[in-house]
Amino acid sequence: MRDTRRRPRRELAGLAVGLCLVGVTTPRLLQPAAAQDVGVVPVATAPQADPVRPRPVAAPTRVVDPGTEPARVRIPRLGIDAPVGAVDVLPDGQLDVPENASTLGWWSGSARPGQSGGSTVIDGHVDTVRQGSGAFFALSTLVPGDAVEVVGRDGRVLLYTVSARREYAKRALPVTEVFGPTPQPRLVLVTCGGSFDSARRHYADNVVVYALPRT
Amino acid sequence: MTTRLRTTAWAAPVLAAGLLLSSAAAAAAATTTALTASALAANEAPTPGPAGASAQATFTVDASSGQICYTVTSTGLSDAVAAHIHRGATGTNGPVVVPLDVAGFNKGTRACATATAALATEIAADPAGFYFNVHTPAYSNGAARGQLGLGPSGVPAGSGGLAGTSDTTGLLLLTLLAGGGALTVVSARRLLRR
Repeated sequence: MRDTRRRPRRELAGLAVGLCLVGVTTPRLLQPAAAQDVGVVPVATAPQADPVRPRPVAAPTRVVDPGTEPARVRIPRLGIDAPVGAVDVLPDGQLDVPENASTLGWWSGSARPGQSGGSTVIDGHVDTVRQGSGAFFALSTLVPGDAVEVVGRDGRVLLYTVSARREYAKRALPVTEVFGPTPQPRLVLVTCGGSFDSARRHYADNVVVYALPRT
Repeated sequence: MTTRLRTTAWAAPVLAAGLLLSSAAAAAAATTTALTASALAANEAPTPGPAGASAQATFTVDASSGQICYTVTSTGLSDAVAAHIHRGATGTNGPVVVPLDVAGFNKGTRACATATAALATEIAADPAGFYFNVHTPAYSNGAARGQLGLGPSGVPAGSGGLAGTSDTTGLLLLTLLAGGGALTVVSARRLLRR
């Protein structure tokens, strides 16, 4: 008799605790680790060759813009104004990132801003153990339409508009989509994000922002 | 019956945690090597190419099959008639080892060439011993040239952990969710059975 009166109370308590756990954890788990991907990645959108126009017999004399090495990157909305140095691919295949977290790195194997085509790849730390937040700490908050300025070593200012932002798992980084040359010029800004493994001091993802020259 | 249900309640979170850990441990193994080349008119010797001309190329070299796939964009080389991978270190000219198709230039499309597995292995192991160049009618010996180099396979751009979420938080949340779900089901079933 006593037993049957006590049992439903215990089960109701179990039910309440169970529902609470589900209720509290579900929204946290559904919440994305970082802002979701936005916009359309500008890649492989080739201008169609005009089949009617014949190929010129001799190469036309026209001025080819050799582009300029980037000296600074400015992102007014985020208050970013950071110097840019050249970086290379390290022997292990990773793209080098400047030691100084407030400096950005332009991959010297990528296109120079101002050229008529190709990807200009610029990376920067989201943060480091010793220096705290880096120049690209807020990169993951950029959205399509945001303005990005690149100041060239020759002094000119090239204007870009953000067209997309992606977060890729590092172990499955689509290298051609991110680093590959494109027919149109584009700016590719790269940093880290996603879940952080505190034992390895390692982020699981790369945050990539794509921008096109302002027309 | 009660014992079995209890076991289920504990098994769910343990299983969930196990699944999460094993999926995190699975890493994609790379079978190909990504290479790049940045070709400039000034790199052509003894005669430089047309002023301002350049080409960027990315290559994916599969050393086991010998397949080399590539994407190229160029500036000031719209009349390109040929492009190749040559054998030769910086400053030395050498023979063509892989002919490339210029039809896909600036289209954003990937084209593929097939080399012997031995050559592909050699290129992947020592990219600096090879160069990529583009030829035009006016610059038949070469209009732009660049040594092959290892392309980026990743960008390690953070170690502070100030941004993003922690793995352990996610694991804890998932375990709590599974435990809560199991507890709800067990309690509800016991209530309904009465």
